[in-house]
Amino acid sequence: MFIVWEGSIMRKTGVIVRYELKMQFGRPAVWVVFGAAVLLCQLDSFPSAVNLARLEFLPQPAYFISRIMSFDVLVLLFGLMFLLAGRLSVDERTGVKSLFMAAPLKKSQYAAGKLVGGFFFTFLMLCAFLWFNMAVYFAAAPFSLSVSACVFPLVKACLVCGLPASLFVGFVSVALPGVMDVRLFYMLGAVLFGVNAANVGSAEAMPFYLITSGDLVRLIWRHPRWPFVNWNSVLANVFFLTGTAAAAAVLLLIKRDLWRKGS
Amino acid sequence: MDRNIEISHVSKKYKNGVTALDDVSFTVGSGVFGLLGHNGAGKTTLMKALVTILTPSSGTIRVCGRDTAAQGAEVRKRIGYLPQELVMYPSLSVFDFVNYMAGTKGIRDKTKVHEALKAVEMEEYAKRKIGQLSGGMKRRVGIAQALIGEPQILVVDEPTAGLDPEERVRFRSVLSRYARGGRTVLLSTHIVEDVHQLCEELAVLRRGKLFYAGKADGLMQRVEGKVKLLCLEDERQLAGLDRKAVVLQTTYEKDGIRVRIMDDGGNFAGAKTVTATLEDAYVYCMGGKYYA
Repeated sequence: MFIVWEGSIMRKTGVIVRYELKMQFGRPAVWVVFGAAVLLCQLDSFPSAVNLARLEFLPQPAYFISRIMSFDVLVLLFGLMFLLAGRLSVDERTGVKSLFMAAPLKKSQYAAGKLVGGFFFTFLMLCAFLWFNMAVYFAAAPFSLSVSACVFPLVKACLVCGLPASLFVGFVSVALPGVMDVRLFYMLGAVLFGVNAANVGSAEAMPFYLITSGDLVRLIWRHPRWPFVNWNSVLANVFFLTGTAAAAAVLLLIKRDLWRKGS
Repeated sequence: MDRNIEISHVSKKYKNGVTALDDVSFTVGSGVFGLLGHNGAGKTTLMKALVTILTPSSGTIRVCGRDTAAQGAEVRKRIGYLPQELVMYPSLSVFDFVNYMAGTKGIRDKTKVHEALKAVEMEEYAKRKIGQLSGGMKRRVGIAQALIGEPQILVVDEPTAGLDPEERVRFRSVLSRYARGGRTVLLSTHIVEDVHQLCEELAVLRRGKLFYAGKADGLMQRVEGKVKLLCLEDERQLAGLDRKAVVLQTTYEKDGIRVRIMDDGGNFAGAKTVTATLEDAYVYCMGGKYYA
């Protein structure tokens, strides 16, 4: 007797996503990265007298969230990128890949599970980071704040900037080490994040390849002296983040030796 | 008898020019079937082809009547597989890992996971992290994930390698229990004792070629009457013996050296004929140069 095997594409992909999240959230290194990013954020933007004197717009919650999105989230995402880079190779190393290939599982289900798992993990970590720091800001602020004044920019940051940035980091970090030498991937990642870190906010249109400090961030908060939004630059930024994520996924899916032949 | 696995003229040549399998043909019925051979004999390649991970360069493999190349998806629904190297995810618990593998097979019923863990006596360790298990326990978790869904064919690659005797006995019992009721367990190993204890039928691979396939008794009959015990006084007598016969085993004792040899030409007058074992037959297969 054998069981009639069932399960839609979504169901099996969902199982992989679920356990990817479980394994990632259980890694101590993830929380070390998270803690370091939180510490950096609090040192830079905690509403202390010194920081309030240093940062003119810090009493505005939208500025606070836009600032930590531009700087501190970059540290978090950079760390997560390195931690996600081994999600495909770990299956090879542990021998679990041959179990997946011997199971009634398709290449698309496997790849989608890994990619979507990487995306959700990044997005949830980013959201947790933003909400946690906003909670500290709200509780410690020496001035009165309404909850809605904090929540609105927070939701905007998660959806407008967090989603495309998480899609980029999640997909690229999982997929590209599967199609190229992981050392080359680390080098490219280091260069990209280095360029991101070197770019500071400007009144001009920002380069499209900025992950967290591109023109998408202007949708959260705008400087009163330069209140315009360059929509072409915003779209280019969105297209770069989502397009690169999609390209990385396609590269992974068309890689021939990722899976058994003929699947 | 049911022919659950039919391997017909299967060859596998890798891109680097190595021929791992060369025109291998045999059939496997229900029960535990042993696949013997040295490291590098082609056992793992054959197993991977059987579970559809690898595609043979030529030839066909049919599992429960389904062609592995043309009907791979159907074959995979009927197979449980334990690969040779399975480290698993150290951070997951035993239950989570088996449940994860069950999910990839489309099984969502958690009672099936508990049943599989119970079958390998791992239910009490269900919450323990895989990284905290001994080698034997890890192998049991490996077999539990293969048993999920009660597949018709269970393919296990070197499951007892590196295990202590107690774990090996436990493993054998799990496999023989599972093979009841028309199921097939294909056991790849180089440990002859496991095959001797479990399998009525076996196949021997040597350098990618099939050397023997059939009943274990049939293999032993090939060497019946040829296995002899020779008592030597010192090492000088031992020197050069391997040029005249296949030396199966050498035991140093207080009063001399006992040598178990294969002698089908009656070259050793003083040697005493002893009952042949499966291990003798296997060594005969592997060291068959002299006898070919």
